[in-house]
Amino acid sequence: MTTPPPTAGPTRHGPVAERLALHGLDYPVPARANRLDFMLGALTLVSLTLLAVTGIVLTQYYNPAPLAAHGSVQYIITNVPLVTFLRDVHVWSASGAMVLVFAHLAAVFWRRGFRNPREGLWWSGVLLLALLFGLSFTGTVLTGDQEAVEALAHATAGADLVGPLGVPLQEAFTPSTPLLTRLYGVHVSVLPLALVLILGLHLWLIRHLGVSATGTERALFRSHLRPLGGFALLLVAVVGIFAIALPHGLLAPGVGGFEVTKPPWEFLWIYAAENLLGMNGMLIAPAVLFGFLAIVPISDRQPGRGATVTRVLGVTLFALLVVAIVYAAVAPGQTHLGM
Amino acid sequence: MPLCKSWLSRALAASCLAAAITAAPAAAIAADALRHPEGTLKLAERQLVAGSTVPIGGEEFAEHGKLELFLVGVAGRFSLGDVTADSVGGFAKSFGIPTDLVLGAYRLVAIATDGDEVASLNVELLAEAPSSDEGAGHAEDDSGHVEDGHAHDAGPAEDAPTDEPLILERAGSPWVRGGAVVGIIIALVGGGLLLRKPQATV
Repeated sequence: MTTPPPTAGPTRHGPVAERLALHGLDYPVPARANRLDFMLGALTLVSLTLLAVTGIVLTQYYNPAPLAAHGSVQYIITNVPLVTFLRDVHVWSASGAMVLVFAHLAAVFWRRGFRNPREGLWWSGVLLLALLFGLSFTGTVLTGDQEAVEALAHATAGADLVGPLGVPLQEAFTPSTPLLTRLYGVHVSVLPLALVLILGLHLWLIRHLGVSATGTERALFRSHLRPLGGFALLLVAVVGIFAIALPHGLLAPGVGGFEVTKPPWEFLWIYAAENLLGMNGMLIAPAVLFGFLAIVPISDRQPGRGATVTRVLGVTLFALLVVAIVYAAVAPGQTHLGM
Repeated sequence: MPLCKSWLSRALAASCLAAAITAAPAAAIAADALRHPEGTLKLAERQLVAGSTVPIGGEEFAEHGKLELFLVGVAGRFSLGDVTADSVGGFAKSFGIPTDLVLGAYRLVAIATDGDEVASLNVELLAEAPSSDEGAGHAEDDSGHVEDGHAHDAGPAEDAPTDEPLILERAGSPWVRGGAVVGIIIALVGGGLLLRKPQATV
């Protein structure tokens, strides 16, 4: 006798489930959504949760004053075993979040999950991607080491290029507070708050517009949670393995006026653009990527030439992104400031 | 009522646009006005001797501004002391060079009270006073005048910043490592169990 297909009807709940209103999880979703390629967004959220938890612990040990920042990170590494492990989990979770969000983006793009009525879902996702880049950048500059100082120098040089829009990234914007300390405030409050708000909208839209999976077979969302939980635990395990096997180091205290490091891997495509186009590459590359992502739901509304062109452009851009990252990783370092 | 709302929303949008158009240049002007004057540090010799006392001068800093001087290098940042500029933004004071610093290339940096770097100069820290020939060569160079306060020359290649991580003695604990390994194993086993397909009932 085969197991009857799940239905959206009421199921029995224990006393705890009843009091936690878990019946709210018994809504139907496409059965096809129980595959990994439909869980990449949720796994990104798992990475963000790891980041939040480990980040809260790190705030208790990190000193955002410019002359004390590097020393506080060095103190964590050399004196507090648990916190240095959590710092490594924090760094590897950040890499994991970036990998997963790009995989999620690629999967949604490929199956055209941005078409009517999911345009808002796509655009909120693009905003979330931008926020993740912002979090990654602000996190990079907090260590006060050579990589951080050079990242900050690039950011202020980029701020110079955009005129009044870049004023908040100038040292003199608030003479009372150094730029590093302000970026720390952005990293731990402004960006996470924006992330939570946009994520709330994103999840609301998923819940009410549904997952863009084809097929008529349905399953209960609660059945979706089982494989999702499994993948989430595997993700946590992988992050933990990387944190133990490849702990994150710290460079020497940053010395301004030098360019001897390369940015974290998620920014190497911008580094490659700077190699080719000079400092303007720092603005052109993100403008091209996010500009394309913004117009996708408009250019690919229905089957036709627009859809084909959009898909080809998307695949090409993604391939270029990967090639740019690899190229920048292996190419000799270049000086960009002053180009 | 819908007409009222439409008028109100248009007025609100226009007000926001006007505020944005005026705020951006105002912020730029304010930023320029609040920017620190970039001063100039002056040294008789760019080679400093550990343990010696060195007269350091400065000009074109903020009037009556308080500055702290640091030696910044790959080994870290080391404070030399404070100085307050005079009514025309200049100062002249002797500072003691610590004896326990790693020898090599440093930047002599002046930092204002809000943490902003306002001038810097490349120097080299030596264990002994240089020979008279070397000293004469450097005395003929400019006295450490830095035109824009942030210019630098490369310094000895072997002492320049690198992208090599510091060799640090990482804090370790068998409890932390053991707990992490146990947690990883539990996560792997739990994940595998959850991903196993539920067996069909017969």
